[in-house]
Amino acid sequence: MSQAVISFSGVTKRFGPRVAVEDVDFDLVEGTTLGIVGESGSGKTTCVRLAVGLERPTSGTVLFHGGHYPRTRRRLKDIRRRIGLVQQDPYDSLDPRMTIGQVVAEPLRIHGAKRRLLDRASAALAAAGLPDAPLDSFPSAYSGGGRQRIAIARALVLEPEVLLCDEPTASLDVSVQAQIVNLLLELRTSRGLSMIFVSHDLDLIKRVATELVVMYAGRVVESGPAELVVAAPRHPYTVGLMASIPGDDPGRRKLIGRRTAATSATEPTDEQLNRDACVFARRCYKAQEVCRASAPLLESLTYGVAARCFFPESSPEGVAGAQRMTAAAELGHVTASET
Amino acid sequence: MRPVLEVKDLVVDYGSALGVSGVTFSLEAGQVLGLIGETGSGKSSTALAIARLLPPSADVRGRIAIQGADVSGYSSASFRKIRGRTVGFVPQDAMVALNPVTPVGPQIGEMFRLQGNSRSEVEKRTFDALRRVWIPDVKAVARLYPHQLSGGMRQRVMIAIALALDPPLLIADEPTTALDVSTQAEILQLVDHLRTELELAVLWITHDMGVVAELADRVGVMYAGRLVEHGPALELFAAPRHPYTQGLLQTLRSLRLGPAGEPLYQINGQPPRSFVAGCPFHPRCLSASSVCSEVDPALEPTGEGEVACHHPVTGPKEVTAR
Repeated sequence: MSQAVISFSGVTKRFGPRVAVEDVDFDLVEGTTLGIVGESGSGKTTCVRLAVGLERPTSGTVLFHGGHYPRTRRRLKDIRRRIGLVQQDPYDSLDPRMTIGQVVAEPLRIHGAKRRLLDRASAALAAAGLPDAPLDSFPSAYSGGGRQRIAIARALVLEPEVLLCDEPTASLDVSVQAQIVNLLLELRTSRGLSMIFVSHDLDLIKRVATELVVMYAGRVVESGPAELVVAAPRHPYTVGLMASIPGDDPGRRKLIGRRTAATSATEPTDEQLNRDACVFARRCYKAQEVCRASAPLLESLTYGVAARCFFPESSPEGVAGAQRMTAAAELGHVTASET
Repeated sequence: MRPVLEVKDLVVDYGSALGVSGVTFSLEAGQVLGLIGETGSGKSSTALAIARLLPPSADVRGRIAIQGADVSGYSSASFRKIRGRTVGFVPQDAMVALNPVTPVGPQIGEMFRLQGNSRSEVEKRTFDALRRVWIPDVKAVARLYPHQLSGGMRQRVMIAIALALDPPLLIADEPTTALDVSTQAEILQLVDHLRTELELAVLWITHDMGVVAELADRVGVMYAGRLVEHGPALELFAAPRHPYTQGLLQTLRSLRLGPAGEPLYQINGQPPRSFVAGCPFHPRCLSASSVCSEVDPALEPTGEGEVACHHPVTGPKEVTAR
C-alpha cells in the first residue's frame, strides 16, 4: 500500500507580515518523486525547509510517517537522519575550510557515529561519482558539478530514505546539469529513495517527477500526476508556464511574434497581492469579478488533478486527448489564450 | 551594408584566468546574434569588452568597431561620454545594477538630464522610454523603487535605460536567467519587437539553447575563450558541426522529449578551468583523436558558417529556408 512519508495539510508559514506559504496540501508518497515547480518567491524553498524540520508551520500540520516533528532538537535528529537535503548552490552550502572528508563525514559525527567515519565518507563519495576524490582535498579544488556531487555524498552518508533536492542543478553549467540529474535518478532507483524535487525548470521537472505541485505566490494552484499536469494543464498559470517554455527550433518559434494575453498585465508585487482573492487574478487571462472578490480553494477535478481556480481549463479525455492537445500547441495551433 | 558591430581578433587577458583568445564576428542592424557558452567560455568577457566595461586590470586587444568607428582605444571611463549613444548594456541582475534608494523614473531620466534636457523634456522622454518597453501606467511605475517592482519589470527598466539614447547596438548579458519562464517569454517578445522597430543590432549572451532558438538569427558557440562554431540559427540547429554544439542540442532535446524517469543525454566531464593544449573540448569529446590534443583547430568555413574542429559532425546538409 502506498504510504505518505511526508504529508502537508493546510500548511501556512508567515515570516512577520510576509506570507511565505499558505494553505499548502500535498503528500510525498513512499517510493515516488514529488516535483514542486514555481517561480522565485512562490514558496518552494519554504516547503523544503518545513519538510526537513528547519522551520515550523505557523498553522496547519506537517507530518513525517504520520507523526509530528518533535519540538526538541535532540529528538528532531531522529527524523533528520532519515531526510537528506541537497541545496541549490554548492558554492554556498559547503564550508570552504573543511576538507571534503570532513564535510561528508560531519553528519555521521553529529549523529554519534564513531567508527569507520572516513570509510563511510569515501563510500558516499564513490556513490556520488567521485570514487577517487582524496578526502583531504578542499571543495575549492572542484568545479560546480564536483561540488554538487560532494553535497550529494553528504546528503546520502546517513543513508536516508528521503532526499529533498532544492534546485540541485540551477547554478550548474548546462553540460553538467544532465550528469547531476542522471546521478540523482540512478541513486533514486538503487536506494529506493522517495524524493521531493524543487525546480523552476518545467522541462527538467517533467522528466523527474511522478507527482507535480505547481506553486504561485505561496499557494498550490495545481497538483496531480506530473504527466497529466504537464500535458493538459488546468490552472491558467500552469497553462501560461507550459506555453512559455522556449522551443528548440529556430524554424518553428513558439514565443516570438505574439504577445500572449498574460503578457499585457504587470506582475503584482507582494504588497499588491490581495490574499482574500485569487492571487493569480491580476495576471490571468480568464479573471472575472469573482476571482478578484474571493479566493478559490484547491479542488479535485478529474484523473487525480486538482486546481485552485474558479474557471479551470476543461479536461481532455484522458492522456490521449492531452497528448493531442500538446501536439497541437507545439504546432502553434493553440495559443495560451485559446486553450 | 556596413555591419553595426565588427569584432576582430578580440583577446581579453586576465593574466591567470581564462579570458577570450581571438574572437572574430560581425553583426548587422536588425539582427540578433545569440552568443552561447558556459562558465569560463568568455561570452561575458566578450560582451563587457565591447561595451568597454572591463576593469583596467584586464588586457583587451584586437579591433572593436561600432558603426565603423573603432572604440577599442577607449578606456571604461573615457567611453562614458559616448557609451549611451553607442551601446546599450543590460546586465543579468537588474537589482544590483539599479540604485535601491532612488525611484526608477529619475534613474532613467538621468540619461536625458546628462544630455542637458529641460526638466519637462526629461519627464516626457522618461515616460516615452518606459512606454517603449511595454510598461503600462508609466507615471505610477516611474515613482516606484526597484524593490517594489517584479523581476520582469526591473529588467524592462534596464532595457529602457539601455535604449534611452537610441544606440544602434544592444548587448544583453543573460538578462532572463533570473526570471521565470513566463516573464522570460515576455522579455523575448519585447526584444524581438524592439529590434525590428528600432533596427537594433542585438548581441544576446546566454547559456540557454532554447532562448537562442527563439530569438537569434545567428548563433555563436563559445568554449574556453574561443568561438568554436558560428552560423545562421536555422543551419546550426538543423546540422550542428561542432561536437560540443551537437551535445548541447542533444541535451536540450533529450530533456524536452525523453521519457520520464529515463536518463538524460549527457556530455561527460567539466568545462576547463585553465588552459588546455590542442582543441579545448578534446578531453570531453567522443570523436577526439591524437591530433585534437596537439593542434588547436582553426575556424574553417562550413555552409554559411564556420567551425573549429578536426572532425566536424557530418549530417543532413540541406536546410530549407524559413
